[in-house]
Amino acid sequence: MDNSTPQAELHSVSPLGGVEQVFSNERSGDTVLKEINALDIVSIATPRGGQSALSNLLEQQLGVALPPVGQVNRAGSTVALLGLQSDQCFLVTTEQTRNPVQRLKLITGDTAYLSDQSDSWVVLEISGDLSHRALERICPIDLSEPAFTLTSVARTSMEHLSVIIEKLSESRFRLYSPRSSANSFLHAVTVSINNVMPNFLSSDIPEEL
Amino acid sequence: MIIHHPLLGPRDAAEFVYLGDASLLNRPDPAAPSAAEDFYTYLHLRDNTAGEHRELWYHEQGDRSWLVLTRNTLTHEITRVELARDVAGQAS
Amino acid sequence: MSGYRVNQGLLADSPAVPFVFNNRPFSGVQGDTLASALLANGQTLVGRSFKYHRPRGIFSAGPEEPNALVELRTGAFKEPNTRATVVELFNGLTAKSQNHRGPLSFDVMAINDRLSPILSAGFYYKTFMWPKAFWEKLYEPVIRAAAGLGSLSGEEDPDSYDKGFLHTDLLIIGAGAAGLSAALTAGRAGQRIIIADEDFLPGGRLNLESFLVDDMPAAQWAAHSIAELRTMPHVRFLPRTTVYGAYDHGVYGALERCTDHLASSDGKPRQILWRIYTQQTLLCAGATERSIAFGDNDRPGIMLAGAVRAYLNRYGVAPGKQVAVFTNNDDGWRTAADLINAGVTVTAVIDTRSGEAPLPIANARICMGSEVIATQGRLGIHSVTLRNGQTIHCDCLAVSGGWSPNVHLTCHQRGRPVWRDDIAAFVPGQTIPTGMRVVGAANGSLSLTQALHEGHDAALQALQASGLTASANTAPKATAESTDLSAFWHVAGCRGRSWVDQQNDVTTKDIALSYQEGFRSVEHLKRYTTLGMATDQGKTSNVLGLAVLAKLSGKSIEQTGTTIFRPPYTPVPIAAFAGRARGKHFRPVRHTPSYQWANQNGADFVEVGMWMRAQWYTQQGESHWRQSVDREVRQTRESVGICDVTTLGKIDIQGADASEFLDKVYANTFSTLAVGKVRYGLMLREDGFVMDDGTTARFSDTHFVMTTTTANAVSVFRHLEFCRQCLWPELDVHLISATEQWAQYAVAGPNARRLLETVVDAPFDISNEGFAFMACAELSVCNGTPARLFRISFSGELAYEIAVPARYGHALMDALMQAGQPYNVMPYGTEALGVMRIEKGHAAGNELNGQTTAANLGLGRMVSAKKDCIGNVLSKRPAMNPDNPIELVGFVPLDANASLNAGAHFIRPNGEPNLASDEGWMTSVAWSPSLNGSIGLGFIQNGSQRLGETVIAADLLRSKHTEVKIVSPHFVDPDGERLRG
Repeated sequence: MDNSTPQAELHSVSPLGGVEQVFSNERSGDTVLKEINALDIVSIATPRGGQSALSNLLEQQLGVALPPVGQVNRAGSTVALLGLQSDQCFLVTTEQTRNPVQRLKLITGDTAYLSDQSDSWVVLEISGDLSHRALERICPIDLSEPAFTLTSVARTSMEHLSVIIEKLSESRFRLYSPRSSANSFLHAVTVSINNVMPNFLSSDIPEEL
Repeated sequence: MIIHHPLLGPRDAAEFVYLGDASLLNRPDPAAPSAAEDFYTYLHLRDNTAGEHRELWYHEQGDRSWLVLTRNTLTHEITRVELARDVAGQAS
Repeated sequence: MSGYRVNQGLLADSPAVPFVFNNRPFSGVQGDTLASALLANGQTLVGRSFKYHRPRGIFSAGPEEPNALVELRTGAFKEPNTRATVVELFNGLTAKSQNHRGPLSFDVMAINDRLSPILSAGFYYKTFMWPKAFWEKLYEPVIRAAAGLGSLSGEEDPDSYDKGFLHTDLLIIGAGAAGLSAALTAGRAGQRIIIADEDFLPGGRLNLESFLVDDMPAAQWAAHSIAELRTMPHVRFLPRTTVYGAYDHGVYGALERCTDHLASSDGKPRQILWRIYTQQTLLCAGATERSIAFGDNDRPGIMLAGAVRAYLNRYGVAPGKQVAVFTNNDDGWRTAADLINAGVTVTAVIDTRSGEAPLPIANARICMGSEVIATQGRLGIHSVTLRNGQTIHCDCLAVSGGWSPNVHLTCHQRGRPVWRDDIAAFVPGQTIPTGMRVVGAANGSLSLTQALHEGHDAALQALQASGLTASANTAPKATAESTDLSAFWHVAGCRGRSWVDQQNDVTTKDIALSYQEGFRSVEHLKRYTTLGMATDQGKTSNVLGLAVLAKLSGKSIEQTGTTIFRPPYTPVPIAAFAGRARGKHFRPVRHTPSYQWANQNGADFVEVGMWMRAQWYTQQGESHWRQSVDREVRQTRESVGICDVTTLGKIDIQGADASEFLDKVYANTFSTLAVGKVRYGLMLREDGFVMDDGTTARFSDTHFVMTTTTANAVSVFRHLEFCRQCLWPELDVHLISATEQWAQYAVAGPNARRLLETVVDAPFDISNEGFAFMACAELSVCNGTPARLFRISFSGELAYEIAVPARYGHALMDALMQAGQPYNVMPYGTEALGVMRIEKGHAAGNELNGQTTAANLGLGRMVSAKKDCIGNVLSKRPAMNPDNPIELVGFVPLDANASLNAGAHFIRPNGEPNLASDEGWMTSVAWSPSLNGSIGLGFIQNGSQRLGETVIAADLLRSKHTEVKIVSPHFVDPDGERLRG
């Protein structure tokens, strides 16, 4: 009988086990696909009429105001607010804690409705010169400037999966998709990279022409 | 089709789910004496318009907003897109 | 055997490329199409016709080809009905001709040609009517074997396909004279452009003519232009890409053929189906030449005049050694002129028009105002007969009946083309897709000069519309040409058959017959005769057919009208539409956080929507699923079991008005629910039927967590958003899905609390007093992991559901199993879950099928009379509240050993099993380990008042009638003592 011994702390597992893949190609350089785990994600819903109060509070405390839908407001590299709905955004932060809602609640009090989303998403970052071409195969959104800038964020659908996409640099994107279908999503992105990568780019005109 | 979302700009209609006639915004008063008849009309009777039609679309693969589109059923031309929340708010 | 390489054209210095046709080795050159290579090798005969198995040769030099359809490649890679005129030659290409038995030159099925008098239009419809049963078994298989095109490999397509999305400000369709001129003007001004061309060598007509553009050969000008465009980063060039459809609001479908010109795809997608989003479009799709109908005008060697010129100028191939030209326009004469310049003999130019010859053609007989009335030659033409009886020798007859603008994409949104008498052709009408301009030959402007100018001008307009300024360049200058034409369609009084549609073997007589039999609308004509069907969709034949029909009816061609043009412009493989969605990649798969755990512990999975759920866990020694399920049920009821219930929809609902909102969307009341409590909720549709059910927990005044059924998670969320935004926007309420956030497990059975006591962190009080039935709490487990605990029961046992953030799901399952060791805890799957809910009389998907009311489920009292809610008003409709409502009750067979069938309908003993005596149906059945027998749930009229009565469960589909007794649906613990204990 060992049921009197205290349980060990639960071991945490990331959706894809921290996958990192490098796709190398002479012509286009490296394309890197990496799972990002060290993030807390909290959804922040704005009470009716409480928009400016909450925005001011967040700006004072975190250095970021509430973004309009479709826009990201960032404070350095640690905190970002992703505007996903007109009355809802995601706080994404690299400063992790056991209970992110509890911590944020200390700041927001009754000015916001919070819900932990840290475990709801698999987060992938794709970087390299082929990122754009690879995403073209699955992403219906126009990812080029000026339609999609470094402060843009969009929720859309890729290969039947819901995906939130933001642009970290011209050749680096972050993708959030539901955790339960992480393997299908990884498959969708890796196939896209493979399909645009080796041998030739499908849209290239062969040398002889 | 492309739907020009009032907050997000042009988005493929594939991101949206169609519901139907925008008259669904006008839910009848359940306390009215004619409520049974009103609800029957509200839920089941529709104009089958050849031309301009106001209809509800849901941006499920987007910002989760319900929209009211004014769309010509003959040409598919979309002349107006509004947030259903705003339209409903004006009505009440 | 008459075509040959004249060693010029654009391929003068190209390397040789070996290939195989009908098992014989051939040699072409790099840059050839299969058609040009076959012609260069003197292969005039390339196939047999669809119906009559007539010998046929290459007719065109492009995607409009009706005759030269071949099977490409071998084995699983075989692709039938490929147009040889667009197949890019590669080293080792293997092709076969189609639709013949025996060798191509001696097809035994050619007997059909002799039978042609009885094989006319509508023949099948008339002849094979009776006996009816013969159609499927005899007639159709025989007809299909005799007529038809190539054959499929019967194997799975080994290639992969992809899709993609492109965005642009200006889409240019066609990189010919008009397209390139436009692209240069727009590209130099910095506009974002996609320019797509179906050919592997962009340039269109520029590659086919002996003209000059800006003082250089046209093909060279095209190559220079493309090279310049390729240096522009904002220009995307898509060769080998056909824009096949124009859709609403500037969306276009395009097919890019990535590896069709290579021996192997090498693991890359063979083709990509692009969806192109554009602000503006220039349609520069050019024009297609059409033929003239005259006696036996289908012999191999009879070709379109423009095609003859294309083979000569682009590929350096003369399709014959002695070429005659038959034309009604000036363009046909240019073919003769180019042939003469290349040293090919032109035996005659026959023009239907009287008057002066437009061009001098050396050493050829010039026959103005004349017509070809017959041709001779079995497997290839060797001479033609003119109206005046003259016979002219030729091994190739180049025919031009004028040019039809490629208006297809202008019509994809029901636009109708309009007739232009001066060019005797349809041109785009007033209503064309939004944002589209049509330029050059596609617009009826047939000369090169016009195309270059219109392209330039349209680009200027496009720039203006985008707010861009053009740089100061002008339209390129080209050699002048004459495009005069006099409409001429059909040579009257020919003895031989005059073919209109060669792909479908439709003659002028078939059209006359169709007209005579009343099929006079163009759409009827098409269906009755098959004119304009199949892979070429009548690109070279439609207008000719219309002209013949118009003459019969005495109407003009304009009055006769065209059939509707629909996508795709040219064939698109089904596999390209499927893209990656094949096999197990048809749709995404969802896994719960302890999927791996279940996999390692003997789970058999079942797909529930996209979820993979464990349906049972097989243990050693179990050979039948029932053994596993029975054990799981017994062990749960006797001790404790654990079930992964993560897949249930979870919706986080917060806001000052959240409780008011729940009162509106649920039939029962939630505003009275205390914090720390859970309540079962019943959700109705506005029409009063049951939509979904689940439990909702209250964590604070403003915070609820709703669960939905797994299947309805998405639709309930959508419905709640509708209620929130469209019906009650004034309420302060916010929704977010938390389904993915939490790994959730049901822990059920008499030892459930004892097990959980070891998991929850102090000082949480999990005793019956501290945490009673229907309580909920936020707490921590296993030394600090945040968790939620709900005391709810679907099994009817003392039960809890415990939730932790998904990342801890696997570890929690391990921890629970370890903590449950003293009680021999077992995981159970969806089957045991189902058995236990049936034993308990809980409704699930089978009962909540969209046709049942709260009253039907025995939950009528849950529909609050004190408040409004969605569905409240209409749930009171008389028809939903009849005197004899169906009610959910339990059933057991009278014969203890009998099994039950779901779907059986209830009738009274001795009743006839028909609709009139139907009293309800069985919804769910199971073998109950607890009762040691079969049990069922079902709806039957007035069921609650008929307990103890015997009825027949009649299953007509499986021919099984079972006597059953009506019982309470609560087979186990009817008073609910266990779950409260």
